[in-house]
Amino acid sequence: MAESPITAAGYLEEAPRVSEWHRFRRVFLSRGVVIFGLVVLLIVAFVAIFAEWLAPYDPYKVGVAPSLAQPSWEHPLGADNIGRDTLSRLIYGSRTALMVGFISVIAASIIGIPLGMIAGYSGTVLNTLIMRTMDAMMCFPMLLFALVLAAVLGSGIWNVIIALSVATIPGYARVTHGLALSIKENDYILAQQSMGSSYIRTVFKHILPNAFPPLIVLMTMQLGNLILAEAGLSFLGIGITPPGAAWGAMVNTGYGYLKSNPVLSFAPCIAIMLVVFAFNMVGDGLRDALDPRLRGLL
Amino acid sequence: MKKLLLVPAALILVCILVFTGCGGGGEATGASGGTLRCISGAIPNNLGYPPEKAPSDNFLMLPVLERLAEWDEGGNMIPVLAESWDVDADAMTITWNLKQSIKFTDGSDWNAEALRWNFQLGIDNNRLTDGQYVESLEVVNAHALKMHLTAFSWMMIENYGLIQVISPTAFENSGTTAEERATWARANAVGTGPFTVADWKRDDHIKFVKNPNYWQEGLPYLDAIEIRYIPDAMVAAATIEAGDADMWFAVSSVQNIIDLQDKGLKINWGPGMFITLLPDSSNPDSPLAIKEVREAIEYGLDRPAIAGMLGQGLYEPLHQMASSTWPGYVEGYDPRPYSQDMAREKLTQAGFSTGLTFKILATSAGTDAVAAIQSYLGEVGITIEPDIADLGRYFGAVFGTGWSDLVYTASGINPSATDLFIHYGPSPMTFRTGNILKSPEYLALCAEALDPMYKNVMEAMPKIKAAIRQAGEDAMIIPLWRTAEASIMQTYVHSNYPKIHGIMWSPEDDWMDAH
Amino acid sequence: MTTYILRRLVQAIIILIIVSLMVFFVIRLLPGDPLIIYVAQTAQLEAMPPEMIEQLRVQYGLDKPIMVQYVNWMANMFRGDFGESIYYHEKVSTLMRERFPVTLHIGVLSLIIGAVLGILVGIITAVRRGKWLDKILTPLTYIGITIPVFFLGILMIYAFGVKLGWLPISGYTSPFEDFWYSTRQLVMPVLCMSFFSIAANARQMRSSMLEVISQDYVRTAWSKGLTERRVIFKHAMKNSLIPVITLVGVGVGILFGGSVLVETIFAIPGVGRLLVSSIFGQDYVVVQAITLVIAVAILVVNLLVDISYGWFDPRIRYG
Repeated sequence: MAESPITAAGYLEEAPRVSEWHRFRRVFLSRGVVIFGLVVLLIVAFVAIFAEWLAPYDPYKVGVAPSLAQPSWEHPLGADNIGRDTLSRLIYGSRTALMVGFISVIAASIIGIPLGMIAGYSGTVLNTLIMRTMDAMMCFPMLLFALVLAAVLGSGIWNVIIALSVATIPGYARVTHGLALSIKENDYILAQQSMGSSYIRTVFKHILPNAFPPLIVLMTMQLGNLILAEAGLSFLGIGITPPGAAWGAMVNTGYGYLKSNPVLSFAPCIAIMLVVFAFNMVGDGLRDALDPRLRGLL
Repeated sequence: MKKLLLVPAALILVCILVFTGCGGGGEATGASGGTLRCISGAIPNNLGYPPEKAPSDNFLMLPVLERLAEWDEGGNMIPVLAESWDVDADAMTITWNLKQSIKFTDGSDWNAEALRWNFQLGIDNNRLTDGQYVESLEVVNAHALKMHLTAFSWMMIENYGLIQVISPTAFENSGTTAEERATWARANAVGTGPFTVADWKRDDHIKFVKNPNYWQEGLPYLDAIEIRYIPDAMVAAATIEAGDADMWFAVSSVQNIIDLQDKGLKINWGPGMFITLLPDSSNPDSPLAIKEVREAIEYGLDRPAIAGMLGQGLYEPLHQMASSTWPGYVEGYDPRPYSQDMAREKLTQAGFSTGLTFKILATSAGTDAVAAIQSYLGEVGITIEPDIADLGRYFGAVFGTGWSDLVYTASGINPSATDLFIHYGPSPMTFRTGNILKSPEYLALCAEALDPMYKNVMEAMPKIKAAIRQAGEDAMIIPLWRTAEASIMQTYVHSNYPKIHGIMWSPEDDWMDAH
Repeated sequence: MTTYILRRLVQAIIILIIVSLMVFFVIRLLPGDPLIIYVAQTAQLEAMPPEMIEQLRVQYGLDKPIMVQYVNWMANMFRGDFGESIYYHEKVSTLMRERFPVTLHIGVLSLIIGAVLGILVGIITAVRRGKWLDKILTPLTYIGITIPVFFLGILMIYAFGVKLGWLPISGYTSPFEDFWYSTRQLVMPVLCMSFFSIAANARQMRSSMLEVISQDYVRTAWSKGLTERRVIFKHAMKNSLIPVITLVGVGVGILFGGSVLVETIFAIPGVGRLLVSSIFGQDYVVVQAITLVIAVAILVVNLLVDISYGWFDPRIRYG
């Protein structure tokens, strides 16, 4: 914890690559929970990729088990009210979870990062326009923003992804903008520019590498929040359309059978919690390893 | 939340008529006193302004606002605030003879003028069903009102008789402008009922207290009724299980009914909802315009199996446009039992042997059912793309702009046979977007059932059954199943809610044992 | 300082204008026709001929061009007229007067509890790092940031309401009516709503506390022989609070978001539930007004948070 703060100037010095990577690995893997989180994510990714082979039944077919079957050897997690195998749906649900998380994060950052960059490097008018719009978007709680957007767009997993992406754009724009501003003032960059280095070149060569650590941490943390938000939207009746399997929707359906078949809601709920936990821990680990100064900001 | 979405969906389709009512029955020995603490997934938002009333504003206000007449369990009309009625089909008049010496709770008299005023309010605001046939309203004497009509059918007695009346005096004295009066009436109701409104908080609770001057001697038994709004079914179940409530109205979540029945709570069964898939068959470009395609869908669905799963044995699979609890049910008529072979054969006949793709529009309450339908139809080569809409878009489509392909609907079941006309008649009140193709033979049978020669629904029943059978022959709609609906109460509660339909209730007869 | 505050105020006004544009136009993109829903809600479809729908359209001003509607809407807002709900037939200002106090009551309590408990847990787990208290509380904070709110709600209801019978299951009573019952009723919703912020604040506090403790000036304080309490509260805590204040600012947004779920579960007639039912019912007059008010509230809180940094950390200069 006694890491000495790294100055912005220090960042820009070309540190020897090998030692940098070693330091990263040492700090990143220094905590047990981070390793645990990493293992969980690897397992979930594996399950998502090989769902077809791992799932014991067709997750979409009704009546493969008696309706509301209790856990048994044939159906380790029982079956839902229309006789679909819960384990198979849980396995396929990992795809939805990762898809919602990753696509939303990537889409939001692809839009948010350039916006922040442009705002940081442009004149007052454009800067104000972009950043105040981002501020305005941040005035809406994510769940409400996504709820209204999803109501406009209609149900379905893609619309949920769009809604969540749009709702999370401002976070990326803000972080990039802040970095762009602080780095713009840096003597080193000023020197580069005075030497005739082009704007685009400056961005790619110097700004992006510096923006990378906070952004990757933000993205990792955001992944967990997005999966939770999807669960909340499912509870409110906006989410994946049949026959798709999503953990949030499974908790929501299983919730009605909490007393007779608790496994129906507990299984997907625990899956959500594990994955959200894993993303948070890995995010923490990345933050400590990449840039401890971000603690408290992200 | 599911419940929150389902309830208005259900209610809107169920009760398109202005329901009114109360009436006899009840258990013989009523113990007096006590406050009946109820929970409900719907709560009145407009207490006493008829031009803007929604279904839950009607039946949950029955403790205060009574009806002219209502149904009995067999679907016959029985008088409440009316004493009797005389019909002259040739002259096209209905005369309502009113009970005497009944007063509104503001002290004004219930009489023919009050009834005329209530009818007129409905007609003026386009809110009286069949109001377009009223030529004039004639006050014959203080206790008789004669309606002069431009047409007559037995259904008008039901449509007019179910009106819930408010006190004209209280309304007129509540403000100087129409807007002031409307504002007052939305938050106040003055009727003839066994209770009066003591306290109301929008979307939260309503409390009724006993009307000491109620016209039925010795009634009501209860001192007060309190209805709390709890949108989430699981929370409502927990509330009644913990003993924080005495009664839970209109429960449709099967698992909760079973759980609470196991706990020893008392269950009053209601009629449930009539669940169907409706095609946009009047669109000539749609494959659904071809009868064989609609038949294929019906053959492809194992309705007993799906209903068994969704309802855990409490749903009734349907095989015709009527449930067996309904008077128009055609005994032994099951034109298209589950058969994958027949489904494929019909598709081939229609020229779609390679398969078809349809959208199904539904609300989130229908998600599981649509998933089951999707799974079954997938096996016979019909791909289903579910379109799960919010209530706004759903009702916009179902009632307004129409839908494409199929829509998953829930509609109410009346004890009378008026459902046929409300939902699927020549000029239905619910699915009136013109999406459903109705054959000339079917429409002719519907019209015949309303012939003035029939004085009540039972006389017209053979014609109604013929229309049901014709709809089956045409594969006009795809009936799915009848859902379960119940009111759940502690063992010490005696109530006849939902005596009929889930919307008929005589709160003056409810009572509780000492507990 | 004054120039900074002035500049932030100007920014806030620009943000406000953008917020209002977004609220108005995004919500007007809702696909259904609110009038048809209104008609459906009020039943009696047969008796509602197209002319009547047209008449209603004029009554609600929906026949005018959209820019005119926007200008009218903004002008009315400034006069305190938020329009009339199509579904409730009630002034939106009346609806909000009924609902906002409820949500604020629960929200403010949750915010306070989230901050106080969160900071406390954070300090305890940092100071007692690795001890049994840390080992119990830290995993709990992990659960707090991962569990879906609605699931936590129903588990609490079954545990404390049904099985143990300690607390009323649902509903809301005004504290002015029955303070004791109202408070008992609020325990579960407030805990449910603040669980995430308690956990998030605790994690934040713990890590910044650990960092501050290891810094030179705190070490100096220790070496001067000051008591533990004095070191922690006087020296370490104030500096560790800065990141937590940021989280409290964010917390206001999370609370309004969370109120949507919590109010639905615990049957609380607050603004969150009103908003959800209005979104689904496409009663956009209400949706517009509520989202605007919530956005303005969040804007103001974040403005205050920004300005308050200076108090907590004099090192921050308002440039």
